[in-house]
Amino acid sequence: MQTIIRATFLMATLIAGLGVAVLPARAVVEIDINKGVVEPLPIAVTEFISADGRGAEIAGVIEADLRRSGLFAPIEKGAFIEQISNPDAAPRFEDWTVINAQALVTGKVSETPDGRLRAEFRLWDTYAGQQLIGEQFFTSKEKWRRVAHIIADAIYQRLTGESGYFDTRIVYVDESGPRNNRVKRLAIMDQDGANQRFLTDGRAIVLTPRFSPTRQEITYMSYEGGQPQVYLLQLETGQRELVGNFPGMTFAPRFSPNGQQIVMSLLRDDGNSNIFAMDLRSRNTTRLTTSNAIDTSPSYSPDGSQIVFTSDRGGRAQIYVMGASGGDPKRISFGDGTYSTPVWSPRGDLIAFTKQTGGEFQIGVMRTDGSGERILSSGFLQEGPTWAPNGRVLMFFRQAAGSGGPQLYSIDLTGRNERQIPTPEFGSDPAWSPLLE
Amino acid sequence: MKAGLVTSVTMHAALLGFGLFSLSAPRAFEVADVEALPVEIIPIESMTQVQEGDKKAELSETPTPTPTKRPDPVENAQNTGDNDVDLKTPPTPEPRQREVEKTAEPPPAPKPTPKPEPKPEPEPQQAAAEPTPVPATEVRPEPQPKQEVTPEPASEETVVAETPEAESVSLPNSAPVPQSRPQPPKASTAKAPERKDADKPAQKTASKPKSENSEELFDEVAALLNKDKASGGGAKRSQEQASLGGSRNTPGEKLSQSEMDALRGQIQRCWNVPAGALDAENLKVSIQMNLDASGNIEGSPRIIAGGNGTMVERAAAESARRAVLQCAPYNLPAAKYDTWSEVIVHFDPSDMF
Repeated sequence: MQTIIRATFLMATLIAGLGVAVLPARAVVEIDINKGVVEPLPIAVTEFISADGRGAEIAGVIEADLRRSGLFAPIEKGAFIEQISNPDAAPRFEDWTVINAQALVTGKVSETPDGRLRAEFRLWDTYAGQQLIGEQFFTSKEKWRRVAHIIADAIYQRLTGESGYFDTRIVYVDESGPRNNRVKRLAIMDQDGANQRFLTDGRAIVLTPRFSPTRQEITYMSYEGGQPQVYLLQLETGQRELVGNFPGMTFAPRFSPNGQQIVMSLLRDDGNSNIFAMDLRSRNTTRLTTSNAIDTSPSYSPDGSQIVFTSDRGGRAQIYVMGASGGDPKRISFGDGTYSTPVWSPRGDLIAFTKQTGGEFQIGVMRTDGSGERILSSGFLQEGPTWAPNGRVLMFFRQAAGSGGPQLYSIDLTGRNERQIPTPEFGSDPAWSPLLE
Repeated sequence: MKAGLVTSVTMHAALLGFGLFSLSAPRAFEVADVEALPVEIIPIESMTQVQEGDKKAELSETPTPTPTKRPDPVENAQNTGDNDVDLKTPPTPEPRQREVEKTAEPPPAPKPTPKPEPKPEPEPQQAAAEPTPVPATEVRPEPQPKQEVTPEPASEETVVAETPEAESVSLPNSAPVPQSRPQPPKASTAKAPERKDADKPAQKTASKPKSENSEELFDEVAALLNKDKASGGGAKRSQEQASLGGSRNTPGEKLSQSEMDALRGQIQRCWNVPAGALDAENLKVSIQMNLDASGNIEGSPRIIAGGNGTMVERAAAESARRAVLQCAPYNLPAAKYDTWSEVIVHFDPSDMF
């Protein structure tokens, strides 16, 4: 018995020794790459195959979405070598890598027997020679733009890893008329500027619309009742209601991440304002700050545990963070100038703000502990940043010196790709919706 | 009038004199004695890349003699004058008519004879000029490398086979997903000793039936003597190993710094950094690829680190894989192919933020 054990042991040692000896002594070149380029990804979006021109229209919307994100560079269709006739078959990848397309989108649009629209698409990795995703969607015919946005979101998500933001809407304040008699109306549009419509008639001045993160609902401030008050508007029904009934003026409302609370400022007669939260179901209000200073512009963190706001309790307006149920606020901004309109990123990693310093307005971001402040854009008058639902893009409004009115702009988190959002008239106070359901 | 003239002349003279003496002799421009320094630029690898010996090689007692070269053979002096035998081009004997025995199978010679069959040919010089190839190898490859290679392809096959299956298609009628090419067997199997094959043709030529006639034999010997070139002498080429068993026969074990930098620069131009992504500085990815001798990628590169967590990590890994695919072919020194047949690229964007 013992000999057997010994023999086994010997064998095991021998094999182990052999294994060590046989370990490949291969020469492998190992190389560290810690620099690269920051360039848009070249992508080829082919026209979707369809009986009518709908396929080309859908491909056009997808291409425009991807181009506007700044992360993709759609390749001109004239450069395509292979003409896709069957989107279900694998393309000739060499034809696409030779024009430097790193990704390829093919698709097909058809009509179902019951008159609905069926759109399918495939995303290919041309260098690896693989299909990355293939999906199909059914919808009513008039919603073809949404299908295009959803497909663009899927492509964006697969290639960047982050969720997209193309199937979203923007609510903003449309401004028209002469400067001393501006008509301000609430307006809503798709994030690419299409499907523009008005939500209020312009009889009362409206300000600071904010989207609910969970429902098709917005909250905003209006002078409708004589003094500014916070209202709630259902987008589907058009139903409108006053939020709370406070003696003073309420302003700067914002939803909590679960959509159940609204946090806002209440101005008292002594000129100081404090932050209140109101539960939308029970209508109970909670006072969150008790200072003899102006506390305003509250915004929840995405997990709902903290609130960031502006306060001038230290002399000048700076950014503070406190727990969602009030408590000891902690100052996080220490730079020159004054800070206002802090907004917590939906991703949770950053806080966007407006900074006023050196005679100009800046839009910037900082980490939630106040470190790593970065200014993304500077201008004569610009403020009110709002995050895209993926926390990657910011939108704000800017009025250039000497111009008639403000315009909406978007900018990537990296400070690149600043673009003006087309609106029929002047626009201010944009608010980005969550991804539509 | 006169006083004015005198004053004017003296003043001018004084001014001119001052100018002549003070301004005419500026300080000499001194040039320091500088000797030109001859500068020679030597690549660092010529200092650092000494071929490494193999620790496991057998120790040979005798110091390895350096292989010597055969000196150029010296031709015999050409005979001049009245001489009809020892000419520069000896007279070729007439090809003799003789019966050729048609044997079915020549019996194979038991061992290779060093001399070729001395049958007089129409052109004896040419035939004799080709002696039996002597398998003179300097470094005889040890049979060990064979063991190294065997487990390799099998494990790679399984890794490659997994990746395409992971890409599931949610569309019902899925297009044929092109499979990535299977991994060809490692190039290192080609390192098996080649010299063994060289022995075979030598045996064949030597296995011709010999002539039995003694007269012919004499003739053949005479012909041989005539044909034999003056040997240059010199030591035999060494059969010893040139070093203590270098594990592989490469001119340099490593890529030089400049070659690494060139490779790095090439990949950097193709790598799109995932800027702006959440925790972008932690998106580290390692890609392993096998290259063929012309610098193209064999099979598909494998993601060996990173890329199996969040969707952002997966996208970053795929972006890195696209970078190495897009950059191919790689410009690397062909002489060092053994060194760079396998490359691992570590992508680390943390320095960029």
